[in-house]
Amino acid sequence: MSGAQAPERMDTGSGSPRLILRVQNLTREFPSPRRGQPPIRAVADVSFDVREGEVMGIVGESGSGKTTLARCLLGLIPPTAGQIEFDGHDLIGASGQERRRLRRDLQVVFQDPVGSLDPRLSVRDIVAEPIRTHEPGRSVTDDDILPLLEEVGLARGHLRRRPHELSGGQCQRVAIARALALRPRVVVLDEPTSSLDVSVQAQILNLLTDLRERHGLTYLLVSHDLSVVRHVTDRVAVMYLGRIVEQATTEELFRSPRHPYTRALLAAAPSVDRGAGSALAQGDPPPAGALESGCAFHPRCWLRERLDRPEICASTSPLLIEADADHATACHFSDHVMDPLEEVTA
Amino acid sequence: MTASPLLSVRDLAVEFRTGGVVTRPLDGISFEVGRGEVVGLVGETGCGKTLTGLSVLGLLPKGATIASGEIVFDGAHLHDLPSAELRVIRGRRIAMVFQNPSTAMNPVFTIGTQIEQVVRTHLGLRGRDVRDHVRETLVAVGLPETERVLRSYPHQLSGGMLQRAMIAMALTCGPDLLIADEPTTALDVTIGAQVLQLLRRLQEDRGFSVVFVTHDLGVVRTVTDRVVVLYAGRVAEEAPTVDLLTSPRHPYTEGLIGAVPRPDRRGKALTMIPGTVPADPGRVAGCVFADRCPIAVDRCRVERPELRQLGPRGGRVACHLASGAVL
Repeated sequence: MSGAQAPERMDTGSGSPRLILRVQNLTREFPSPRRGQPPIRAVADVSFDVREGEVMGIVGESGSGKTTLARCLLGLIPPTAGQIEFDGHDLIGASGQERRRLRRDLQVVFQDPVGSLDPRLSVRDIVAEPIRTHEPGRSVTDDDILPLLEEVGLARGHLRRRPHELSGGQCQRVAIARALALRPRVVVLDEPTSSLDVSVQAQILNLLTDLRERHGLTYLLVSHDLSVVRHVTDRVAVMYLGRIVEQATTEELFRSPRHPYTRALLAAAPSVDRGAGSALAQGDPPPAGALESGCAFHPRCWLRERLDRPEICASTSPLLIEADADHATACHFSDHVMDPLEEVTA
Repeated sequence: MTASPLLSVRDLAVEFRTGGVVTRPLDGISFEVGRGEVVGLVGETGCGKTLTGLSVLGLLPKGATIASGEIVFDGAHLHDLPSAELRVIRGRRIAMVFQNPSTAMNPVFTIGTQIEQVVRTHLGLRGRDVRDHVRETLVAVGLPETERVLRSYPHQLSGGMLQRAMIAMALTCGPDLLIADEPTTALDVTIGAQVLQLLRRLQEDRGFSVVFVTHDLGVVRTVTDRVVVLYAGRVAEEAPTVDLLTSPRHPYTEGLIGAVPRPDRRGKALTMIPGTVPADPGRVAGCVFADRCPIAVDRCRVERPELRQLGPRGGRVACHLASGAVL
């Protein structure tokens, strides 16, 4: 195991909100589809903290491990190694009963709003389901459900509808109402708007922002969409092939990214204001499990090319080091990434 | 724009018949594409942007017919052409790149076989010439390991490589017009940027025209010269790209742009367009956007706004209330 450590948390002193989620050295492996090959590490040694009331973003492309990470946090799959602490309690080692209690406070909204709702159930039953599961014996009435629907912008008329009678945006509102039914403290948002049109996305993002302010929720937003992440998060971790390569406050990360992958990602995203930047990262990422040593990004790294291919990038996996308060980077040469983006992409 | 556009779509209406019910997903679409011009067709799900592209190719799905209007490509009326003649134009002079390369390719033939077939059919090349021609195209789209790609089946290539192969197949006969339907939507950001860069470079080098169908305004800014905004099967607005994105004239365009999260509005509320698209826009008498429009007046609900020229720079807008001045 490489020695990447959790970037030292700033201070626990006055004014700093309490930790609600702490992930330490989390690793999840899957058996290789090829016999005799070592397992594939979908998430490798990932550590980060989430403070109460903040919106933490996990950004990455296909194969970055962001969804596997979310599934581990939700207890849908067990991690291979590492710890997850929720509000000071060990989430992985917890007994079944305790885990159930903790899971009440940790809910999720998935990407596919239609597919994540049971097509046979009415909106009322979908939203009631978590309450019935966690409070067996309690009778759930329309009076329990209606306020939840109203909070997400739906009305009494939607109670009896089934998912196929609703639009994608309405389904996502139902999924949000279901996630809020148990009054959780943390909601994991797994690509909550990626299958929606931009005008509907705007409605859902505005709604999520309102709900957070109203209920003091903490969000963990998993997304590939940089504009969404930039719009709603306070802090961001960028993942590439299972590892966190950079982590910073959102403002800082978008203003002065220090990892060449982050910089390539920002440059690649087409923007309404300036069009697309350039394709800094060339080629495809290597297939899962193909990379034996070194920095995961080194085969595509533009900075390494520029520095005449230093050997260390191919031989040694860089540690995630917090050079400044709340800005950690895993790159041997992050000092060289600092030129303004325009110069790099010119 | 030059005197005779390469493609001219005039008042195109498409109808679907399902059971006894007739719906009209395209209702009077008009736009032109100049030679060497890249025109964006923009809109949200169901606005008719893909259907417009398919109409030009004569590839309408079953049950759909062109109810009125005309499609003129380089002087030829495509909708009147016998299918044999249309086939000569389609593939050779008009080519298409689809959103999802893995379903657009045939899974049981190698990439080489599929591209070679296009070359044989349209260019009449035989033997060695076919292989050489295909290799040249693959090199032009920047695919490394040409031989391996040619021998590969679609599932053996990554999404980015497959989309390059798809572009190679579309461009191998040197078309005058490329219809690209969301070619980067299914790809990761860093791979999508490579494909956009490639398309831009090839277009500049070869000078073909492009109809670029997309929902992504960032992509529009990146690749297009001019944009046609579709809403519910009609053209809402059309203008040079930068003009349209910086000073939209149609309330729908304005709402669409306001809904995109942007750095200078971080954390602030995004513009919301209330309501939903009308179920059968073909039956709407007035403006199709009137029900959702923040500034609609009585006239908007009864009288359909025609596309009209606004200002000296060539923008057109279908809104009674838009003025020549920038909103």
